[in-house]
Amino acid sequence: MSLTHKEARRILEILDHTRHLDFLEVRIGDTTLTASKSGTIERSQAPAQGVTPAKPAQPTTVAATSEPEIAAGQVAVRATMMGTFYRKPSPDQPSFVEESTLVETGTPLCLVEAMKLFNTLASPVKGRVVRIVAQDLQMVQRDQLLMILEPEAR
Amino acid sequence: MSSIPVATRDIRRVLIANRGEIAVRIVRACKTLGIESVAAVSEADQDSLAARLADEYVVIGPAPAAQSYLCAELLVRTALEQRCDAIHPGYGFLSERSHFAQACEDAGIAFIGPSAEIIDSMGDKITAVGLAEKAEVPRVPGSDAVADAETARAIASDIGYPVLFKATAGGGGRGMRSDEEAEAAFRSASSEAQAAFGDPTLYVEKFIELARHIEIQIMGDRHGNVVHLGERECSTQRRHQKLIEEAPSPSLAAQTREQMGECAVRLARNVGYFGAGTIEFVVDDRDGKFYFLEMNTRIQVEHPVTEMITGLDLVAEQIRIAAGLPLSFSQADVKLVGHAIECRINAEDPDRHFLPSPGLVSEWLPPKGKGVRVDTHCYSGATVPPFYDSLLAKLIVHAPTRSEAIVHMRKALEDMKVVGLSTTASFHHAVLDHPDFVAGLVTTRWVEDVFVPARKQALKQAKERA
Repeated sequence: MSLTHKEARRILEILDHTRHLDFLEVRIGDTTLTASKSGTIERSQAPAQGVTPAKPAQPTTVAATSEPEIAAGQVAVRATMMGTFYRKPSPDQPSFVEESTLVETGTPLCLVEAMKLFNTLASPVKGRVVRIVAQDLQMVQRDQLLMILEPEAR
Repeated sequence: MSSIPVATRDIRRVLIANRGEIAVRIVRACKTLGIESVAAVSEADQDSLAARLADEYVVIGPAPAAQSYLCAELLVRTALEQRCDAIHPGYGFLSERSHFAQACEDAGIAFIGPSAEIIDSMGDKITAVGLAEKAEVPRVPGSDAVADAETARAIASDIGYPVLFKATAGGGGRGMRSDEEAEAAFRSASSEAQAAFGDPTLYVEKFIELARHIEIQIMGDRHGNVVHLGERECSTQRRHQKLIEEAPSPSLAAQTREQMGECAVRLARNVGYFGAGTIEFVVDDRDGKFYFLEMNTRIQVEHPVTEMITGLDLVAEQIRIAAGLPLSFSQADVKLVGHAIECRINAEDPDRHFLPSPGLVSEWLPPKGKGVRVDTHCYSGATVPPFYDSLLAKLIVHAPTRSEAIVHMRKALEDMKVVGLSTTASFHHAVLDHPDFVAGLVTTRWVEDVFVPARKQALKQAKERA
């Protein structure tokens, strides 16, 4: 027995509509669906194999990993909209930045694409890329943490 | 009318090779005609309204359009498997790809649209302009390739300033206002073209500073009948994307309307056009002269404004034409009644640079009322995927006069309630409140040059006061 796409979506809709629920785990037979609202809770366990994956278009993130800590003074780069996260300007070009790359204010960091519109995210500070949190070519939610920057000490 | 015998073919089951609101629109046309519809959907659209409303739906591939809605072969195969006898391509995606039209016909499936040959000739801009000239449809004044700066200046002053010097290899061109500027500008534009394209060849074209986008809807059948259904004015645009369309145009003189309609019919007849088509014109706001721009060989997004003022069902008519039936109306039957306006409601945030806003529509309450029509794929609980365009709905109103239509549209926009994502409804309301729009003065650069800067300024001032 497994969840159909429609059933999985309905469960996610219920989660999305409720204010009091941040986290859901549904077990039907040997299928487990683990879902949490974006970044609100640490996942208790890895989702079981064979789970019907929610499509990336879902506003609810299935099995969202918890957001890493942002140290004092560090700057978070977040998605301006829901869409696909791109680390490269085009498939045959190198990534905009790597971890530990030094950036200026305005240096392009990544792209987020939705509805045929590419949005370039530029560095808000001069400093260094500490961590690239989001995975290349993955669907990201609005406000999801993409990168962490360390501004240059003055 | 000429009567080349065309065998009628049975269309009992239509595969819809599209998504979104137009897929829903096609389902409705099929229901009207009493025929079956099968929605071909991507994995992201399994819960779409079209999939729910169609008699059947079939998942054709993953979400990205390149693996689903743009796969001609896959769609033809699906149509055969589903025992469909026709394919409706909607707009966008494969609707103007001649190879798709040909693949359908080769498989014995009726392509709901013109022939591959017509799509090829009208879809190629240079061929289409040539055909327009042959049909004595005016084109934007211009020249062929120009040899030197002196000739360019002579041609420019002949056409009348301002003009553009454009590279035959492509690009936007360089504007020119006077004889004094012309020769130096020609030389620099020529070397720019050499640097950019490796080809310095230039031609001259009249630059229309205040342009209106006005298009004529035509319908033709396979028996040689071609009828025009009046114009639509689509000058309210942002970055060449139409935002508001209306019919009739607030600016067109009756005589010009008639001339444009005749031109459109003449061109369509010359190429043996059949199906729904639109001839786009640019109209110079200063002198009211019109010039051929291009032809779209498919149903348009904004076809409902024409349906509202004519009372016709263009999508159902498309299917009838594909079945080989003659047009169900003649030119004399076409009466334009009242005024219709359409607002394209997009999932974009107008106050954040029109950033796309896909996601879950938790609540969808469209406006209702006399003369109000909403063409949409949204419902409460629908998900708007990020993979496709941002059109959520077309809000259309029909009223006896333009000013009444504007009032109704404002009211309809106010009554529309969408929870879960940002929409452009507030933007449309502000446009419809603007004295320039009310007076019918909008030209194609107005939104970007006049409206958006003023709106930004007003928002900034409001913030400062707060």
